[in-house]
Amino acid sequence: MMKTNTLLALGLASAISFGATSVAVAADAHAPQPPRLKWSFAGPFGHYDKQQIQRGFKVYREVCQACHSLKLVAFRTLGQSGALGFSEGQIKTLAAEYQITDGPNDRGEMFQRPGRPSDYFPQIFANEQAARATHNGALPVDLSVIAKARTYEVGFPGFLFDIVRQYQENGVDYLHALLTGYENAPAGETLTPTQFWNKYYPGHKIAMRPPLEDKRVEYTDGAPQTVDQYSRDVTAFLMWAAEPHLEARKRMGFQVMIFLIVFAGLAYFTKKKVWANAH
Amino acid sequence: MSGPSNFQPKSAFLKWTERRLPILGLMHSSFVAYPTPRNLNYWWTFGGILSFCLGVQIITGIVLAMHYTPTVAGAFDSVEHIMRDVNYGWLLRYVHANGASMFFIAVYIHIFRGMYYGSYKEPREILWILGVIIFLLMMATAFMGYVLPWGQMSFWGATVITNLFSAIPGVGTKIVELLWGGYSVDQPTLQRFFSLHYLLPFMIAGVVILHIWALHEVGQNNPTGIDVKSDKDTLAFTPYATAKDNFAMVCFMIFFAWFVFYIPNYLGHADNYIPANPLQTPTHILRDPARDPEQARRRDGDVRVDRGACVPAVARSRQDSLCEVSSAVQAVLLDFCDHLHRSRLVGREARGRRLCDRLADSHRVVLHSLPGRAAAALLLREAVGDAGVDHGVGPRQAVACTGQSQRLAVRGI
Repeated sequence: MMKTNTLLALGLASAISFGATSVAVAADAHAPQPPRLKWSFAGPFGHYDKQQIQRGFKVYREVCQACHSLKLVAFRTLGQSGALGFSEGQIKTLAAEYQITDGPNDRGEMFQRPGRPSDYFPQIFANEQAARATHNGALPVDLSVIAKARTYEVGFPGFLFDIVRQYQENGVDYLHALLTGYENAPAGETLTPTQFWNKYYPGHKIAMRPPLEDKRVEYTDGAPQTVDQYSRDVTAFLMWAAEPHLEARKRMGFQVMIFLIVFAGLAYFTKKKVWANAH
Repeated sequence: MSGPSNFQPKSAFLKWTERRLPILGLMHSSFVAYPTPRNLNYWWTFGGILSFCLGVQIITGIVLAMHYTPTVAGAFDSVEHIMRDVNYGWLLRYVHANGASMFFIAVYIHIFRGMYYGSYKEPREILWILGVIIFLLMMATAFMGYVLPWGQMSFWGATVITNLFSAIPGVGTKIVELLWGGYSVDQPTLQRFFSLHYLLPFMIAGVVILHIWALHEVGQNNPTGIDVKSDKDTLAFTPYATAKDNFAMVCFMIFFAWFVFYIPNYLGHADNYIPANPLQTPTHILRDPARDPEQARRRDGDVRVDRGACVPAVARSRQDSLCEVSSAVQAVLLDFCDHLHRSRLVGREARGRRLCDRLADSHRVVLHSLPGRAAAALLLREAVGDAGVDHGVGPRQAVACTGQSQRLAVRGI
């Protein structure tokens, strides 16, 4: 059994190192492939770095929230296990900072009230048209599942290796690359005043102005206040928003794997024993 | 072959039931005493694995249906509600979504095993045909299930696939409207797909019973392809085949669990996490309109007018060019082509050369005089102009054109 364990560990280690060293093939000629970053929630034992997603939440609140909603996320979920680790009191205070439209009341009117933990993050704009009208026709998308709603092409054979190395961070790698990918337009490309050049955006001309700059959000835990760090943090937060049960999933996955591997061993020897007298 | 059951119930109650409804005896003869060839290899374990897949899909599906809302406004959010708020909802949904893919992986192995070892041959023809019916039902079910989350891939997948039916001559448009429940993919489509997605798995289960019945009637094939001759060639289903199937199934479950727990979105497309938007086709579905007038026209919304939407693009563009010239000229052109082709074949035959090299030079000369594909599309768009006019030609003539142009296409022009 010891021997099998060592073998398994070796296999796992080689799989992981293989994953880290092999280079993915660029399939899309228009946009370069986002660099693959190290994320705390990647891999079989992945978990959210609470401090990081708290910082990311701060970035979301101070920057992204000006335009982007988070309408599928409820305040109460910020305190769930595997989430930001806020206490009940903190969540109540936080929710109360938002104004929620409720109603109709006894007089048949809608009214505003402070948010409660059971409420969801409110919409920023009344409707899509209102959002477009204030953004020169561009729509700031809802960010609830954005970390799973973006990807990039990996191409053959890289996509096969991704199964073995459990690479599922296409979305977050892209988001981080997008947030840090602003640069000056190359010569010969003209941009309108509401367009910006982004290395990683398909077609490169993006309507979102560069949202982050160094020192824009104040960190109190000593993390570097750079665009790169902000991007990593807010992306990690958005991954949590898109996949709030990731930790539970990976934890259960490990238990299931152990169970199934032991079960497979038992099933194999059972089969051997049963068939022993058939020859 | 359904097994000489020597099932003897022990308790008085079971004796009482068995005399009135011999279901235990049926189970015993089907899954215990049933004789299986000794030499079956692990490729034969996929039948059991597939039953497991069907069971998993039905169980998780029934629970998911308790929390899902089949409305255009609510479907996407209700799936996210399952993912976030329902107890183990994320597990149910990921098992169901990945389980569908696992189902297909297993069924392909099952089918290829049947083809490789000749399991479709006499006397197993009906067994094979029932399998094909199951496969078709599976595809229909999976397709409708894919539409339910109502993301971008759901919506556009539904649009593209249902439009395939518009290629059926005569009734194609009617069929598509019936599938849609209207004139585009919308609320009625989603709702009927949900209903059918719930119904079809039980039809699959029914055909599976027939499939197993047919199997047990003729007995299993085996790797040698020579049917079993006597009892010496077989072993009882339980414990022998059960033990083997069990081991294979657990190994399959490890593969399955790898996807469910570690890369649950690997087999899906990220675009399906974008809510459906009928006004925006995902970029990788949309192709270059200059190079693909077919798709451009489809996107322009006149697909319903265009009965031949799914005739292969080359044949279509030739049809378009041909329809521009009068039918008399068409007839002359085609006769000319035909004549050239035939005389060339005769000449080659006479010289004893192979027929397939350097085929169609002279045809190209003829057809190059006709407008190119992009030009054809432009002409066609002008000709169609307002919706409801079917490129200005009667249906009979259009069909004739299709026939002719397909003949041309077949000849490699």
